[in-house]
Amino acid sequence: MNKQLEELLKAWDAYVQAPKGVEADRLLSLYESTLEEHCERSGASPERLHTGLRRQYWRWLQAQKRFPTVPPKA
Amino acid sequence: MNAAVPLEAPPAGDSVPLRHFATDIVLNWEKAVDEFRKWERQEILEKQPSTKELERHRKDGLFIIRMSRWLLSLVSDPESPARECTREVSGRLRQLEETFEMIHDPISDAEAEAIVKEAFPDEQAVRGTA
Repeated sequence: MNKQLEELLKAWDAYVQAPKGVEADRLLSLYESTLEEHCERSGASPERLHTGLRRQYWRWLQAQKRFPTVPPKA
Repeated sequence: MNAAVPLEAPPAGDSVPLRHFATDIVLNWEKAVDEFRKWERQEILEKQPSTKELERHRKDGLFIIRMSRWLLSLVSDPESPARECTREVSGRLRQLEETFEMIHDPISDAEAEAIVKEAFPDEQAVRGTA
C-alpha cells in the first residue's frame, strides 16, 4: 500500500478509536493536517478525499480483521 | 471507564448537590457512549453488518448523538456546575458524528475507490467486502 495512504488510514483509525474526547480532538487535528498536506501536493480536494478515505478505511478495517497480517517466521 | 469528570472540589460558588447531579449525568452518558462504541466497533466496523444491524445502528446512533448534543448544551452553559466537561463531551460528540457519517454515507465502494485512486494514482484499491 502507498505509504501516505496508509499513514492517512492509520491516522483516521487512531481518531476513530480514541477513548476520550479531548484526545480524539487532538488526533482529528493530526489527521486533518496530514490530509491537507497531501492535498496541497496532489491538488486533490480535502473534503472529497476525506469522503473516499472514510469508506476505504471501513473496507480496509474489515480486510484487516478477515486477513490479519501473519508475522514472518524467525 | 473513561471518566471525564474531575473529582476535585467544585469551583467556588457552585452548588455541591447540583454538581453531583450534573456529574452523575455525565458519567452515565460516558458509560452509554462506551457501550455503544464498543458494539459499533465489533459488530458494524469490523464485520460486514446486515441491513437490520445497520438500521439498528442508525436508530441508536441518532439517539445517542441527540442525547450528546443535549448534554453538551447543558455542560457548556456558563452557569453549569460541570462546565469543565465541555471539551470532553464536545470531542466525543464529534467522534460519534464522524463515525455515524462514515457508516451511513451513501457513497458506493466504487466511487470511494475512484476518489482515492485520483489522489493516489499508483495505489491499488482496498478491495471491498460489500
